Amino acid sequence: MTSKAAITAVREALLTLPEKLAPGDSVEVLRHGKTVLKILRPLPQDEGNAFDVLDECLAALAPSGRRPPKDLASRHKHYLYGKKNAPGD
Amino acid sequence: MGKRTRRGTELPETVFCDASYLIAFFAPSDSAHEKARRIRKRFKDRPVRLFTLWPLLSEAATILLYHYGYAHASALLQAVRAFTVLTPDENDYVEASALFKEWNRDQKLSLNDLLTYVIVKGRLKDMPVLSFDRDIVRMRLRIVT
Repeated sequence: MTSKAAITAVREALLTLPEKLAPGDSVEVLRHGKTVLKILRPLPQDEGNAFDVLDECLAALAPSGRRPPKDLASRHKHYLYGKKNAPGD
Repeated sequence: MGKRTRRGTELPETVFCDASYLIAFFAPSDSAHEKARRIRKRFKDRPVRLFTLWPLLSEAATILLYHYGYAHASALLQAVRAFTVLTPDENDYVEASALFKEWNRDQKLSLNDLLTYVIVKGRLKDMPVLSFDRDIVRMRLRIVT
């Protein structure tokens, strides 16, 4: 597939997206067997409990085996930006 | 100071998740993880919409990647479909930049903190916020506890 053909395939996929996808589904556009575009259609935001999706993604996690800091959430800026004058300290 | 929604009061149907809540939820060893799960359980069997910002997702995913590894960052990003993820526009950045100078005497607030403030107070009409970040809690936002 040429680049032009790949772009056309992506455009066509985008145009047909609302009809092709159910909420929560995804579509992939492949080029030479490799994904060039993957789109997830969001769940409808006016129904259901969005936390269910978070639970599902959390449940699929195996323990990382690392020893991360215990205060990562509350002081994430400290860990992200460095110690000196770090926000959140 | 932040206003907190009290236990027993009616839970909101829309909440805004800041980076610290996203990190706590996907970081099982974190001291805030159980609290994040308890808050989630309060919303059990209720319709609820979650909002966040792309810069906050980026921040949370980066921290999870550095400290927990690829799987945890990936789990967060797989959960993106659960969120209405907003992209700050140029006006939001300009307003947050102005507040950065105006409010930041102690130099603790990040630009993302101020973007959160601008968007939650503006576009999201003071939507309740899930956060474990003291800087966010200090701003005049409605924090869900």
